[in-house]
Amino acid sequence: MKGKFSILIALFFIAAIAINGCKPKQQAAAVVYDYEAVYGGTQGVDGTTMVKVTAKGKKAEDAVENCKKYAVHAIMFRGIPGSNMAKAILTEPNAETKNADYFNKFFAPSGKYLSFMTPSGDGPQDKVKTSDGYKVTMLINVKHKNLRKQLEDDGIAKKMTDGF
Amino acid sequence: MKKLIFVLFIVVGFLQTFGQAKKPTLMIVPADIYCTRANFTMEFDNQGSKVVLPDYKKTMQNDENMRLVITKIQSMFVDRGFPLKNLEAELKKLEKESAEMSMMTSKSSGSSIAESPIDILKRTAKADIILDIDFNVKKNGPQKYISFNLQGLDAYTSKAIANAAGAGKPSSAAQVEILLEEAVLQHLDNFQAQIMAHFEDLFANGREVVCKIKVWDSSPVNLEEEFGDEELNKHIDDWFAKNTVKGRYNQADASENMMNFDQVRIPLYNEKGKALDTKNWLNELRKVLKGEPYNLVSKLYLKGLGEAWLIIGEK
Repeated sequence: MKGKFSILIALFFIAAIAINGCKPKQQAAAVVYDYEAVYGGTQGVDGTTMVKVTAKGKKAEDAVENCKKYAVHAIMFRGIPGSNMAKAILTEPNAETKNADYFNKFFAPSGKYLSFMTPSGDGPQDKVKTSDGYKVTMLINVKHKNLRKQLEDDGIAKKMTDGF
Repeated sequence: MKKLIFVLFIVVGFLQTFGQAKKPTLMIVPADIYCTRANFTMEFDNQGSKVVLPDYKKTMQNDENMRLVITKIQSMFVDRGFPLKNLEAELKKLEKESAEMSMMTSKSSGSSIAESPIDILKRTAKADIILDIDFNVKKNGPQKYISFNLQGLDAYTSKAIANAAGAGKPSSAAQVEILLEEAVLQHLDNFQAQIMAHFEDLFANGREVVCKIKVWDSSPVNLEEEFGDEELNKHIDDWFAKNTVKGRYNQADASENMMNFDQVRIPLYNEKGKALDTKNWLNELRKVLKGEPYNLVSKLYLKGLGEAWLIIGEK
């Protein structure tokens, strides 16, 4: 009797594992980026765009790092209305989820994104203490020309000559 | 074995070369309004009526601001892998062509079709997209600013496919050259994004052209001549339906002596993978009409870049 019961328990677990394995794998939930990015208002040198970013962080330093990251992110995926980069570099709607591994590495701490931006020498324009940390506004100069070239070379963005 | 590898290498190379669509060429030209404002114009006698046209040669020889803007735009397109056709070089090439190229005449009857110097330039340069540039240095008190207008025109249809326009920030200190460079930098990235969207449309839906079917006065048949159960115009219409991309074309006008087709979407390359232009594409219809049961001789003529005429009845 005890042996039959053990077999039943074992079968139950095997069936549960099998059913679970058959379920369609859920896609990783889309990351919601909580930031604002607008045109910085001044035209920089050739191939750059000045972006004014507001981002949050638990510490003020985290918020500053997020500003740097999101300035590059905005040029890649959102575009900055009113600027020379009103249209984003990547226009395909699911470009970020399609290349999730690439962008996880790209935006990792000390990731590649750091080489495509220069924060304004004046530091944060605004720093506000909030209930859950800090909210910082900064001017970041994004090297969109180099960024586009990198994405094209890595096969993430389409080249203008693709297909010809 | 070595021979086999060599043959395979050649075949793969051939397929790669011809399997790609022809890369569109772009050429930047000063806008008509710019040339008129600066008085860089010429008169053209269009079969009796005088037409004022922009004189590009005079503009390029006399206007250093225009040269500066063109050079800056050219360098930004080179960065994206699209070297622009140089207007000055094309004008020089055009000068070398004999005057007889400006007029096409039927070999047998002497009927003629006039073509303006601009059409000849477009046909000779064969630029797929014309970048039409206008700017104006304006004053607001002691300050200067630039109003800038760049249009990308499909040379085949003259439709605007991209545009960038706006006024720069006024400045009392900056030189005009710096203001012009700023204007180009401000607008060109967005402009290039629109050009890219147009290329994607070309791949998906084909190139848009205009085709006209006409009949010489001396032709033994007109378009209402019956072949089988149907008139010739129906046979031609069926050919368009079969050979356009996704059957997209519009028969704008028709009579017993002419058929005008616009919004004709032709493939970028034929089934052999060779790049197609309007003339090559319409030449297939000429071959069909030459064969049974029609046995019709016709003249194929390219007007500008995106318009081809097939004139039935003689060469």
